[in-house]
Amino acid sequence: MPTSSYSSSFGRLQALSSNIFLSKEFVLNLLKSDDVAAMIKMLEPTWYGPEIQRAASMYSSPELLEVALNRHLVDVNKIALEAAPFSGKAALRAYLLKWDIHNIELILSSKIIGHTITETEPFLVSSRNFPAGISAGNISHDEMKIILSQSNVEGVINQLLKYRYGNILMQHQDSIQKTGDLSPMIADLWEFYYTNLMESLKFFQGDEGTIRDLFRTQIDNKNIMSLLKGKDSNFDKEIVSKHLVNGGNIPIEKLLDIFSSKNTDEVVTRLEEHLKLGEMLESYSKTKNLIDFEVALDRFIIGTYLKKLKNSALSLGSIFHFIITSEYEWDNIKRIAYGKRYAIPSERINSMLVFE
Amino acid sequence: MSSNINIRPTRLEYIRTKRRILIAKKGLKLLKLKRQALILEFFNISKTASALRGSLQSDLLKGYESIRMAEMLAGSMRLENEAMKIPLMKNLQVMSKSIMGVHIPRIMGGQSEVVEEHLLELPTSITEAIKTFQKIHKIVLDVAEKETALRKLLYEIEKTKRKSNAIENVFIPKLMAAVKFITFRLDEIERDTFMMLKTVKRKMGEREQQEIILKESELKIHV
Repeated sequence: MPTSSYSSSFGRLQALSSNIFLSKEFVLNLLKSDDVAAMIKMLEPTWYGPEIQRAASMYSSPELLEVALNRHLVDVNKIALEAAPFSGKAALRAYLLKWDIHNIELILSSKIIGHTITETEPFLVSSRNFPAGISAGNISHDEMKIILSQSNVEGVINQLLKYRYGNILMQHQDSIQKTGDLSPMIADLWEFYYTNLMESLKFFQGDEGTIRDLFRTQIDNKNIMSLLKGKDSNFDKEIVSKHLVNGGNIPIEKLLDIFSSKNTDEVVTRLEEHLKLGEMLESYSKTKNLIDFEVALDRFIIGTYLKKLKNSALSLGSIFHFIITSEYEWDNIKRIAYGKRYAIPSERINSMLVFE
Repeated sequence: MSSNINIRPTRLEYIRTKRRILIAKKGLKLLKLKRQALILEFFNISKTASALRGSLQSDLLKGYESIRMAEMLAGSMRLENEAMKIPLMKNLQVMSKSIMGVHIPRIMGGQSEVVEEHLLELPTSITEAIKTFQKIHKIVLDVAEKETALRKLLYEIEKTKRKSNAIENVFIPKLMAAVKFITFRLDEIERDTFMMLKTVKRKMGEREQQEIILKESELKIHV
């Protein structure tokens, strides 16, 4: 039975979930703490404790907390990848590939700008145990260093040819060298990422509908934000269309039709026909800030899909629930920590938090 | 008048001085017009500069808030990572524009070569921060341009004021005094000549009288 292979991973992750993840009340209590140091004290007895102690010898707050959070997320990704049955690992790797894309983007940018290895290396997403390519298992940190040591864009692309996205990089090599503009390549890499992710979930086991819906909505999220940013910056339809990714719930033609609205407000109104954001747009309607709209979209995705994933016990859904929950917890704690660091009012920080 | 020592009291000098007064008055009128135009421009630029300064203050607050938000939502590492990708700013190009003969600077360039399209691929919070600071950078350059223009205009207004005051209160009165002096001297000369002619005429009359008397006495003797 294909589902039986998931029973052990479900059991393992369920058992860990209660220990690893913080409750909503605990996160809201973190919000009440005076500063980052108090937050660290509150987090010490939790699963974050060992990571905080390990990082304490090298970092002080608030970097200490960020490093501990990153290491914790790497651990969670490792646990999820280990817990997944062999047949499910490809889908998880396809999901974690996003960290590789961030690394490639950074390395190519540094080569174009002319930054040195020492300047770029600390920012690699697998450095400082940042959630990472290490977990995805596609490009290791050592491999990244070799890629980084290449003297120019051509060398970097040649090193990356052995990976699946090598073809995309090759297609853009000439234009990058001529114009130094990475954005069309990055747009194509994300298109590849989502197509690859959706492909890896296609006809997987027959019960991956919710996961596919979740990623379709994430594609919508990316497309909608590109649409709003494009409208806000008065970009042409042609430019924005290059950055829209196929495979979302809202077809690209429909999105481009919405883009022809007069302003961002009209775009938001027309989007409500497709996404019922309702009360989630409360903050956005007050501030008219796109950041609030993005948070509203995140809340919509989490609210709609995370519970469903949790309940799909004997499938890949529970593993994705585990990874995505850890990502949102990572985001929430970071947001509270930076909010405390900059004395941002608790209500404002709270408006940025995303809960299941 | 000690200043009038060097003035030649001639008709030619009189005509020349009168012409200089006319030119000086025209120049004074032009200088006053220039000063008015400069003051008008000064106030216009000063209004724009103060509006820019006001918005700079609020935009800076907004900018720092957007950076905090970007750090909060995307994390400091991602923010640093994205910041590192932004290339160095282009060199500033300072051109100049002439307002009533005053060369005021026009600052061009100085923007970083962030490919606008790239903003679509960044987290919204970072996009907002980049856009806010691009706006701030433009305002800072505008403020620098306007404030330098204000300083230059102020200096020119002062200079024009000093020039027009010198023409109005020193140069024209001096020329007027010269005209007065020349007129006075010419009148004196005329009176002098008139008196001289009168004396000559009187003396000639007296000489004629004496000659007549002398002729009459000679006739009497002959008779």
